[in-house]
Amino acid sequence: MTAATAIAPAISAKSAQMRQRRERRRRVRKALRSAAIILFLVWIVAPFYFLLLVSFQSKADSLSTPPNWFPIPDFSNYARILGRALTNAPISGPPDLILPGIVNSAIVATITGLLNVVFGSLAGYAFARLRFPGSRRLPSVLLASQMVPAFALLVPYYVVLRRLGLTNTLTGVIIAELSITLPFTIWLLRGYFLGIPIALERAARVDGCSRIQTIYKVVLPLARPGLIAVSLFAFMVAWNDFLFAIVLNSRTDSMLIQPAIAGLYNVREQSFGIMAAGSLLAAIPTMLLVLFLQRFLVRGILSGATKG
Amino acid sequence: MAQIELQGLRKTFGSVVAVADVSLTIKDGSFSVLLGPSGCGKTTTLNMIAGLEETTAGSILFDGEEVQDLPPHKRDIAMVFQSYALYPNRSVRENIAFPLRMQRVDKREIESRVASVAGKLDIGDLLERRPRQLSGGQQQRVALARAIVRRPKAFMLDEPLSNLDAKLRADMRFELKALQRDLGGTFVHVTHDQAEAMSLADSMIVMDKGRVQQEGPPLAVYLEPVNLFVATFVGIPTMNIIPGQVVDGTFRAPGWECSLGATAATGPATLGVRSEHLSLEAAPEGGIGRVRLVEQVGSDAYVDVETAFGRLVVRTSADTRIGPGDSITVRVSPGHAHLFDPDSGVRRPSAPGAAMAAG
Repeated sequence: MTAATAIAPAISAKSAQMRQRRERRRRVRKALRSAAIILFLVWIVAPFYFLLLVSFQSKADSLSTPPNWFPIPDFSNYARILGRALTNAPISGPPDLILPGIVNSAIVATITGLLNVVFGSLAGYAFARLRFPGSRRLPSVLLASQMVPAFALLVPYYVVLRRLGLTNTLTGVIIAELSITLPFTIWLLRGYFLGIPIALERAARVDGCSRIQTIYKVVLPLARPGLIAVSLFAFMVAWNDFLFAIVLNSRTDSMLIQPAIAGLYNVREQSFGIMAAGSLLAAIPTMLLVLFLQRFLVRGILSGATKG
Repeated sequence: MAQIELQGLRKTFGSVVAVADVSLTIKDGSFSVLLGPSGCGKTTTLNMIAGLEETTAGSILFDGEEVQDLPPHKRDIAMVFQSYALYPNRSVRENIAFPLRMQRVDKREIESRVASVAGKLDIGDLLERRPRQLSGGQQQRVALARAIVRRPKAFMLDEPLSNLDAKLRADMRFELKALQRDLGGTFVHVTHDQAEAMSLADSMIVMDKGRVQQEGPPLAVYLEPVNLFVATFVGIPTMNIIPGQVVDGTFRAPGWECSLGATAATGPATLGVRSEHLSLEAAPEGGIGRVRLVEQVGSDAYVDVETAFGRLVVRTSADTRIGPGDSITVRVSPGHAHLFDPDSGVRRPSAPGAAMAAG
């Protein structure tokens, strides 16, 4: 009896010690993890900050070494890029092409994104649910087509579009961007549709939907995250594309954003500030789009559809 | 409501024959159950009736009208799926209203019909929820509500109870039967659970290998199975099957015999007898086998006997004194022995009034 009561405090003291040690180890691990995340963040954010920094500096400041980390904001670069839009003056140099480039690229990328959803969902659905010659093999061919480097297709595209009279038009670029993005989109959406329980489609058909009604009343609403993902993907590809944009479309009045930015590097009065400001302006639309659409990219939309 | 006729129905997937040749009449207002093991073609048959699967050959008639080439939405049938298949992005109310909206029923009419069906199935207070917020049993009710709200020509039920737990399944079975009686609808129900089929069906259709093996009221199928497949598939525990010979109107197996009456044809035969039609007797000497196990189920006990001709299961009262290791013999109650052809498995006509006794 007395022996037992003597042992008990000793045990509890020991366990308290162990608990303390465990607590300390947990705190160290947490600190290490936080440090790693912060490092990673710096690695990602630093270039952006540098870009922002340079874009708000006068030409002289932007060339100084070491860089001035906290300068007094200077808006001359932005004024140079945005100025023409306000005054409606004639185009006098590459900086004037940034704004029209953003507008042109927005048109191309938006249409590419939307058409990816339209064609991609119909074709993806067909590959997922219908049986026809090639319905099994073609999806892997679609994926394999992604391995062909884009520059290998450049000359054929140029020749074909030129014959059709579509070089130097936005339509021509849209056609080219579609043919790069659609195979992947179809392949991805096919996988997405395969994940939607077929019983739901059968229920819809019995409930009075024709095949096409089944697709847009039941399948597409459930595939929304997938549709948003592919439209974002296609938008980004079209927005960020430089190669096709410059080869298929080199006229200044229909110039797209990436060639327009590249054009800044050729300015005689070469200015890092203007380049940085142009690049930042070009990044804003895609950033806004992702911020706006990411809340629709919710997962778990299918939970509760079927049991077992 | 409609009478459904299937004539020479056939479905193949490539070289696989899912449904070989099915001809059936499902009477208007009947509860018909398609019963069979997995892969027997019962679900494919149901899907063909619903229009979800194209037929390879044969025709489907609703009230004498051919429908096999119509898409499902033009056949006016409702269906309940094993997985319930509720639209996860719609509320319960929208799920139930969906078939009516597709038929362009007037809005106020939809509202009142949804309310009345929800009341009938006791889901009135779940209408604003999403399917994922419901329990399995509630989802099942919503799926049923969605089927009955449109008053279709016929109801197709594809294993609707098999995802429920045992207790709920028994309750829903009862409710389903009551619902069918209430609506007076033609129900075609698919299941692999023979107990479910027995309790629900007006007409039970036993399928195997893409063919109908037997069709009729459940009790008739249970009492007079047409072949060995039906005999062993329907009924729990499985019917006892004893291989042997018929000689001079007596069935003989190693160490056991059973007189069948003079009309029984001489030659090899297979005897089938249900566990409740066997009685046990202790036989310290000259028994046919020893008890291996006594399985208590409360109301009865199943005695598992090891014999020279295989394993027998005998149903006896729960308070039996027989225990493992006892040497016993068995007796067949008169009129309950089934003789089958050992090669084809087809039932042989039983001689009326044949006396059965064990020796």
